[in-house]
Amino acid sequence: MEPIFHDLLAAGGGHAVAFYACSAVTIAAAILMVMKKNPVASVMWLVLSFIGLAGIYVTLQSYFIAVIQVLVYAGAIMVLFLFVIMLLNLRREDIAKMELPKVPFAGVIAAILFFVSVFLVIKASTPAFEKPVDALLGEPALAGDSVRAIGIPLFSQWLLPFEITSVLLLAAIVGAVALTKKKL
Amino acid sequence: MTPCPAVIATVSEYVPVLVMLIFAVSFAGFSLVVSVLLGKKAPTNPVKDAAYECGMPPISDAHQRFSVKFYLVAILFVLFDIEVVFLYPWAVQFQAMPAFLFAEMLVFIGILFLGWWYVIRKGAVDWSTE
Amino acid sequence: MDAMNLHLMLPEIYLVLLGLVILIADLYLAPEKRFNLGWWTAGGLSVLAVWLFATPTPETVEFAGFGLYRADGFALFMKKVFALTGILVAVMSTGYLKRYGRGPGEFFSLVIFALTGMFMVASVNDFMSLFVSLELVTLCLFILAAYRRHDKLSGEAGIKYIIVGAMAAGLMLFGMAFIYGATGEVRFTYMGADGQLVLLSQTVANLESGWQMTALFGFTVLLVGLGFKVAAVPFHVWVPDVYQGAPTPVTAFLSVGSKAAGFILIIRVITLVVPTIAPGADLALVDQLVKLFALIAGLTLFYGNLAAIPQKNLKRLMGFSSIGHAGYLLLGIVAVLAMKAAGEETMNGVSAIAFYLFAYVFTNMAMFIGMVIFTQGSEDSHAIDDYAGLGKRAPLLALCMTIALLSLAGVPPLAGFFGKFYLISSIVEAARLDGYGWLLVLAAAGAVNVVISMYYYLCVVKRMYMLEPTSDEPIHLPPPAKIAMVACIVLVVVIGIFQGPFVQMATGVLATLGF
Repeated sequence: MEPIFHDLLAAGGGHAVAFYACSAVTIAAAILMVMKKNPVASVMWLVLSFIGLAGIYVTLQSYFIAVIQVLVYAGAIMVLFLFVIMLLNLRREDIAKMELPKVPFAGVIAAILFFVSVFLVIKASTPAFEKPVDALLGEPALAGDSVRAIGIPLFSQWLLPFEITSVLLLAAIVGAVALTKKKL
Repeated sequence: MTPCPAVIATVSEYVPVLVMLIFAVSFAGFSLVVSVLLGKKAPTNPVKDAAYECGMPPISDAHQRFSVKFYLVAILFVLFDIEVVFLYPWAVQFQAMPAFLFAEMLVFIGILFLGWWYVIRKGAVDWSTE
Repeated sequence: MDAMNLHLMLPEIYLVLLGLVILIADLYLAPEKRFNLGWWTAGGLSVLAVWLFATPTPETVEFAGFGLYRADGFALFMKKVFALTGILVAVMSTGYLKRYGRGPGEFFSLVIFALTGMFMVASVNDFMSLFVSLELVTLCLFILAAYRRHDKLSGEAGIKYIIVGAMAAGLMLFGMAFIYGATGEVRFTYMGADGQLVLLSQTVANLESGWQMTALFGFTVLLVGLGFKVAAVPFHVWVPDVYQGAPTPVTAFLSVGSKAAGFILIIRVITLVVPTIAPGADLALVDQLVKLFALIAGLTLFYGNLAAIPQKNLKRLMGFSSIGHAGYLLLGIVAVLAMKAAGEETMNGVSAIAFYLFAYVFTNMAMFIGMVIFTQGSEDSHAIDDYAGLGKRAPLLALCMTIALLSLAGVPPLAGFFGKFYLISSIVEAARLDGYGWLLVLAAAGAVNVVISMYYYLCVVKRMYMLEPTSDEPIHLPPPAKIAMVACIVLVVVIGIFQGPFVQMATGVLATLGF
């Protein structure tokens, strides 16, 4: 068995189970997303895939990223995706017509890129793989209070951009209404 | 290899999340099952499922172009969602310096509240008037 | 340095409050009274302008917002420029919007929020605030550009502006990330470990050469992003379409406000982040930037002015001419960079840019107010041929627009001439440095382009006076717009003739610039 499995299982069964469960959900949902013909169904699977990804972040103790993943990606970005698809208003016949493009060249390039990235990931992360996983999880960058680590500077030292953001959001609200509403 | 105590501690912290998850999933599943069990069963066939168009066979599907109002709702959702993103790290460290943080967030929320007020007063999400 | 110092940020706070008041007042006013919000805006901004002009130029840099906000002479000067721009935009928009009849509250509050962003841009002291403020400006201007909801050209202008803006923002972030990666700092000036004020440029100067290259790459990418904002060639392609499609007052706002904001940031990056090289040290880092900017400035000058010649639409012509003006302003940047590369801290280029922008506000605004009056608030007659015989139809309007065009072209003794004169002389001064004699070519290019621009500006003037009117419909000059236009023209002449106090104001920014 690969050392990483050993380590993960040794580091606490619950953790490993959670990690692998989330990974499985992410990958399965991603595959389903690609395979679905109906774009709305694809988007729904993409949401699930994002939620699985958020779970992975939680098991890696990056709570802030996990929350952002759910709020911004699975929530906001996905709503926009869905609306773009709905506004595009593809008819069922159009969707049926959309076969995979018959470009073998693109397929070859995609395959090469896939294997190169897999190779690079394995190559580059070898030291991390060899490290016992509990040490990896205990690393400062991953461990602990990532939300507090982000929050404290954001609301003290970096207060100014934060407050400008509120004006930015307000301008966006006004703009959204100004551009879409018929009668102002 | 002995498991690191810190990790074990964190794992046990997930238990409430897990319980919550189980509750959420089982509530959704329960509602579905109950509605199937208690609901009136009607026979289905393709003709019955088709859209009714004066008794004629429907020519095309019922897709229509969506009104831009939906888009406005989506954008407003996204904008207020971003507001929540800021609230989360703020709430986590609120105890560190309550008075200062409260004032700071009051300004932030106050400005966005006026945005919300504007949206409501303007009738931007009021669909009956247009 | 690490204090909140809220009192230094009062102009920005005032602007946000003004914007909120306009936005909320719009909800409660009777429909016909809502169009008076333009006067509220102009009044509120006039109070701000008086306040800013009454503020003495600071002797030292003061910091606020935990060291992320700097109140210095340059910021104050640019805020005056922005406040004046805002007033003139409000005055010319009021009649325009009344005719178009759509959402004055939204329009004016967005103008004020854009101004808030510009004020912040003038005062930022770190990359984070820089990015957020600049995005605030871009977002507001994008909505304003697309404000004519049923006009396809306006929609196109909005889409082009937002897409180009997003790309520029991406490039800027990319560049900032590299500078942060090399230096580990995003603030332009900050407290060092020993309690001394450190400039980011010093940090860059002390880096190993490999990291310096990383920082150089970051600067280049960042400046490319800013190049989009100021419409420098080859990042200018969006300008003609956006200028043509946007509502005319918004075009005016874009041509002055957005351009000035971009130049402020270029100046901030160059004075605070790009290192001054000590004599005899390795020149590579800054010297490359000098060459790059000299090339961009030359291309921008020639492209903007040559491409303006065949234009048939006055708004498009103003678009190309604004590219040409960006070229002139870039001359000042090249001069400052060349000084830095030679280890000198002389920044006459910056005061030349400040003077030029100050003169450009009145000149350009007079021109655009004239266009709004001529088209009577519609967007139908921007063809240059429509201006035929304007001298007979509306002599005052024709006279004002002629003076504005002559000042844009750089005819003495108008304000525009001296703006160009100071910029070219800053380049000539830089050309005296060792190894930078070739900058004289750039100075010559600047002079040649005065002649080229004279040609197409005078073509417009010729139509106004030499041709017979195509229609004898009277042109109504609404009093407020007329007063604003005449005031601008008077200032263009006054700044040209009595430059003293204005030059003094522009050189006053130098004292607190590089700290």
